[in-house]
Amino acid sequence: MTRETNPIDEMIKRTRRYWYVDGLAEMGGGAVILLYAAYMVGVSLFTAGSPQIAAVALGLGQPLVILLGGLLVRRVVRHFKETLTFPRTGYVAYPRQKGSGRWKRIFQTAMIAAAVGAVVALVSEGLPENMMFLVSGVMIGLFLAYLGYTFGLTRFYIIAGLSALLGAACALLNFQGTLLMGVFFGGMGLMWVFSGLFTLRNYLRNTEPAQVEHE
Amino acid sequence: MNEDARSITDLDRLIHEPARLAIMSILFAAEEADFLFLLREAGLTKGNLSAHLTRLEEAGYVEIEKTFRGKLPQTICRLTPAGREAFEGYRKQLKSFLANI
Repeated sequence: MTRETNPIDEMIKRTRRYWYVDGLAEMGGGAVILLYAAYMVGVSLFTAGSPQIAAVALGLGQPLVILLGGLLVRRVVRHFKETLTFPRTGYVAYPRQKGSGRWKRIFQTAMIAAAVGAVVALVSEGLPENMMFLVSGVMIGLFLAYLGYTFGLTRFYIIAGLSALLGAACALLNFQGTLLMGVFFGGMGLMWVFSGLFTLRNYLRNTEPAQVEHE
Repeated sequence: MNEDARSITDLDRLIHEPARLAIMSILFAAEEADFLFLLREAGLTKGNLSAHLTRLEEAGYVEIEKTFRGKLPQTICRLTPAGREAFEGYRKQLKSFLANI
């Protein structure tokens, strides 16, 4: 059975998908994951022998690294979009919630993150430590598959599959500990960055800066 | 006139025109977009796009802002609250009509 595509919905979806047309968003996401991986490796190396300090550094530092890294990367992505993408295929800004709606969204996101964390903790409790890598790979893969479905991006399904495979490979290799978790996330970040670079290369090959901006 | 026929004749004709429908759909998904993006996505000529944007602006559905990006002129378009409301109404009407076919 085929599902009929509504042209209006398709046009709306295409416009939303435009954010990912150049691969910059993936590279940005990959950069945040790489920062996170570097932080984990750093904590593992500098707190060797003191698990309490490592636990505190991970507990407090992880959200900070993701938050600050996200903010920084967002600015960088925006800068590159302004210099590379907008002159070629046009400028689009997406609706951003303001005021109470924004805080509601942040609260909802925090709740979902906490719920996912709780599920992961429950699932992994009683599992060998190496299985955490598989659980993480699958969870990230599911998130990417969701993005792929929402925006109609095939390449996100591929990265989703690779994420799950990476998690499975790390579990099979019996990876354990913070250092190797950092290595796992490093691999994940590189995957995102390479996917973004490949997409950017194709985008730049197929587009040119517009000669005239408008009428 | 039966209900089905009435629901289709009640559709906002300004939005129902294919080119304007494309423009409205794009702007509905975005907070704002420039002329170049609309030109590419809607697949219209510059003159055609300008004419349709003018009609939408006159109806109070679209807001147009002329600005500069560096030394290049840039035309930014966005839906007004009335335009957003009209588009949502149009989609609802069209969906209910199609559901009854």
